[in-house]
Amino acid sequence: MAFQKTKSSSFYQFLKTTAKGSHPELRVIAENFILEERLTGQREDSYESHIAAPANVGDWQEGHEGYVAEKINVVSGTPETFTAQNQPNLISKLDENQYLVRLENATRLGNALGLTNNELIDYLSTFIKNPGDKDAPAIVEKILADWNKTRDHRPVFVGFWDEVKDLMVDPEGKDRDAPEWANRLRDRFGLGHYDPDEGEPIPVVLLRYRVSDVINGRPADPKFAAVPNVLDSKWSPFFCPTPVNGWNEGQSLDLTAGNKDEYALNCEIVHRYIAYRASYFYRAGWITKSPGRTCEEARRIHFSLLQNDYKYFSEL
Amino acid sequence: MEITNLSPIDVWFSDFEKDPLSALDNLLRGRAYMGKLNRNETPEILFRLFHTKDTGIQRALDEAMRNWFQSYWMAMPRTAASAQWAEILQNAFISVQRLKLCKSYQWLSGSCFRGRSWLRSLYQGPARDPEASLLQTLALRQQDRTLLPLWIRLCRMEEDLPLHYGAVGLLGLRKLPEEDGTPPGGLNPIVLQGIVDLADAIYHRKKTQGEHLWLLECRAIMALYPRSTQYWIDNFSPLIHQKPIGDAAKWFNKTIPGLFDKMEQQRHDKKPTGVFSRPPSKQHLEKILRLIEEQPLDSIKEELQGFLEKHRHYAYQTGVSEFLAKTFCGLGNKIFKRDINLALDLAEEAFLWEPYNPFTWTTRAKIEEYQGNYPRSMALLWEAKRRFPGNAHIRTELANLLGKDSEYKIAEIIYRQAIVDFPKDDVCRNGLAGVLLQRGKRGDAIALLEETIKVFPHNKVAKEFLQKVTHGESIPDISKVYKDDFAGEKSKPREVEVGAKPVESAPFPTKTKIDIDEPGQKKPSELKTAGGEEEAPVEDNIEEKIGMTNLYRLESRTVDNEKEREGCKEKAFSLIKDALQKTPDNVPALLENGWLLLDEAADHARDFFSDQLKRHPHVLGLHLGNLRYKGQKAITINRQEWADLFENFSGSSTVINLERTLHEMSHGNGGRVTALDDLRRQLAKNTNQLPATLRENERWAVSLVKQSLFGNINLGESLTEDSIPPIIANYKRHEHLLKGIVEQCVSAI
Repeated sequence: MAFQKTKSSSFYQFLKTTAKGSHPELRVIAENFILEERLTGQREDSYESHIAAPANVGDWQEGHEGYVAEKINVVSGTPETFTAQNQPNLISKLDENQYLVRLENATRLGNALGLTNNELIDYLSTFIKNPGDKDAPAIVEKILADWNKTRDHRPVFVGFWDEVKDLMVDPEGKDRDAPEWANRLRDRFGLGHYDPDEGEPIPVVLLRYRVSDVINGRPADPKFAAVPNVLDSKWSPFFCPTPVNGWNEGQSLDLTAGNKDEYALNCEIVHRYIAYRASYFYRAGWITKSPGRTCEEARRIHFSLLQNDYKYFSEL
Repeated sequence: MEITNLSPIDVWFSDFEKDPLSALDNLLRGRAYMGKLNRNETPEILFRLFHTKDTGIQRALDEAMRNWFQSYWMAMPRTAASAQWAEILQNAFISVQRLKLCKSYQWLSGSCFRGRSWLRSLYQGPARDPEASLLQTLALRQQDRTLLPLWIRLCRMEEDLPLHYGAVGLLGLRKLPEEDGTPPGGLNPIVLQGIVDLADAIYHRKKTQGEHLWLLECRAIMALYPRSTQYWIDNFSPLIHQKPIGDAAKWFNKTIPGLFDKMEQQRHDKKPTGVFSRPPSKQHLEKILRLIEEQPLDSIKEELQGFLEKHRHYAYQTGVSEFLAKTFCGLGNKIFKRDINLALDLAEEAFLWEPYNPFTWTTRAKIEEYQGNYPRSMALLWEAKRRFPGNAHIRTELANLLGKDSEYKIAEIIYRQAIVDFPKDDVCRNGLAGVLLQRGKRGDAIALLEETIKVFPHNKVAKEFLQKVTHGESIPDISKVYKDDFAGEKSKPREVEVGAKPVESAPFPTKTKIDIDEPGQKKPSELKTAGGEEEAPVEDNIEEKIGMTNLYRLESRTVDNEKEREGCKEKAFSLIKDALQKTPDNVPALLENGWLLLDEAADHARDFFSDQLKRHPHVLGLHLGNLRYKGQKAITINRQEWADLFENFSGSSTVINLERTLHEMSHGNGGRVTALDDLRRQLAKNTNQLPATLRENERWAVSLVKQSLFGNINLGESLTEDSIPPIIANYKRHEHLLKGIVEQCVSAI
């Protein structure tokens, strides 16, 4: 089910119009909503109560942000994503020992300590290389405490370590000290919004932890992870909804430069809030370049691989 | 739809060029789609958009951001959800810090004082805490030392705020610039004092997780400033010696092994190696006072400057502001007739350090009045009255000022209410007698004075006053009476003993130069912030409107004549409507409005409280008003609703307990004895552990509740059904007073 259920609705007509015109970066947002198959009736209703009948993109975006603020990026309680309202998309069968990975923009992590980004990345790198260092652990613990406290409970987008570890370790399992790791990982996970363009590099941290770390945060509640859909975060042209048919996880865009043949689909899921621990820090570094592939190109390839599974592809 | 080649970012920039404020508003409020950057947090989007742009465009953003704050300060859009608005504000504050938006920063630092209670009303936990975001931004971008007192207060947890504000206080101290405005070149000793103060405050307030937070802070700071163990021992031990911090000292030993040994050694040596100075001596003060008495100020300029500098130095070194505030206010009072500029600067500087000290308010008001700035003086006193409901002197000062403006009727109401609120205060009674004479109520005045003498047989002022009246003086010099009443102020200012309410730092310069020869008088409107910018405009008469609303509302409860009662309510409604039109999110004004609606038993009080709680979820008064409405309408209040309030507003347990008791007394269903007994136990608690900003109001409330509700009941024993009939009788007699205590305490923000 999705917004296509009532094709005569004013919102659907608005989506169709928006998807036909305008700039590609805007068009794709409407396309995503048309393609989305994973919304339950309850979630759709919940969303529609925020957007009513938008007259323009500004109204729609404001309504969307209002929905996300109230239902997804909550400061207490559970985001709609991990409630029974999203039951069909909940994931419960994952091997608990496997590693998940998440790339975070670290810009604000040093604020509470008044650290510059350079200092922050230096401390984190020192800690990761040598957790027994004299000073870095105290600083990292403080950073973590502030970060955990000031993060809201929004769904956390993650990928699987196995799918990206080639970027971080060589076949023998030794760490690759590749300076480009952050750029490459950003591209592999389709995180095109991390784009320094011609400006300052973006400080990032890579967190790695096990599925069991997520589950153990609230063991009694099995609703810990889900396949992401268009309602689970702010709009992004780099997000693509994943068909229901044949796909049990989300699939991120691959922004890595290269031929179509080299395009890789990577699984992505969202999980509920967990408090990060120092042991989760795996790398700290900088994103220095724009993505290797444009959003448009990546989506074109992405759709060529998935279009047969999309139920509403013909609506585009 | 129009096909365009412009990306969403280009479109937005094009809008920004045409109308920066509108474009920024759209971005901050989530109405602007930012294409490839959209998924980022707003501060990151703004940073990416602007950090490589030329200074002209950055300046336009700065200007737009400042205007944006001005547009929405205490006036968020009607349709905005508080959680979302809290996040929008946080994003705006972070952007000011990241992009170094100077004008916006200066505006914020000048508006902080009046905006914090509003920001606090939006608090939904550490993840949505715009007040903390603002303070963090102010801490990280400090350009001078103006905010030092604020950081000290946060470290001492003198405000009723969550634990993590202590960390903001330490950040502020760490980032405090050098005297010349350059970034700190090392670890300022005041940071160590802040660490000790925070340990002390956490220990005494018994804050959950407090030790953990403190250890994190302390260890992180020690890691950021690598020093030898000996350095830490040498610098911390004298501070801990000066300020016994109980078991919290053990926390230090966890971070600095050997500290205890060193302290033990110092205890034997009896010579702590202190690194801090002492405040100027009493003898020095006496010498200065003598010089002021005997010589022209011009001729003692250097001596006086040196004395003031010593006080400043001591306050900056130690964070102890008590001496500075008391001395500067005292000197201000002493010299304002000879050098009003200097007097006002001193009073403002004292206020900067101790905004929760009523003495700094009354002194400023007095000086403003002397220089003819009557509206400013009036506004200060109305605000002080609201912030310090437990301070009788402020009432007298306000009534006195109103009397000078021939507003005798209002002055009379103020005095009458003060006599109820301060039954043991003789000054208010004498003041009322004076006003009664002015209003031609000679008989009432004589009766009041006679009663005062009966109650306070040693009161010379009342006796002298009565003597003059009965000997034919129709209206004795009232100001003489006041002066006599406060003759002891020099040595023991009544106000200094009292500390009450919140408490942000104000936008005034910290250091004032003595320039006695400078002609002309500086008006408050000419005061600049430390950064050189004009302070944010202050709606002075808003406080007056709120105060007058409060006055008429309480008056309407006591007058017998229905027409008069309706007249009072009408005036109150009209005044508060005006205030809310100008500042729709002014929390004290909203509370007054709510109490008024409750007094009217208006049905739309339900919608009012329900709407306002959605907009301001963290305002105790709105929660209590909502529950009071439920009581009025016999709607069941479940136990959890009270429990949530106790948990979320733990510093205000007495007020919550009192409101719950009042509810049980009038509408309750079998919980009367339990509520009364809970209140009884609450009244016996030690108030010393409360934040300074709550303590004095709490003491006043406790004292008044004891007298008016429990009378002669022994509060050491548990209450039973048999023991409560006299309490019920007291309740019936003093219901309005008890309700008023709740209302005044929760409005003191």
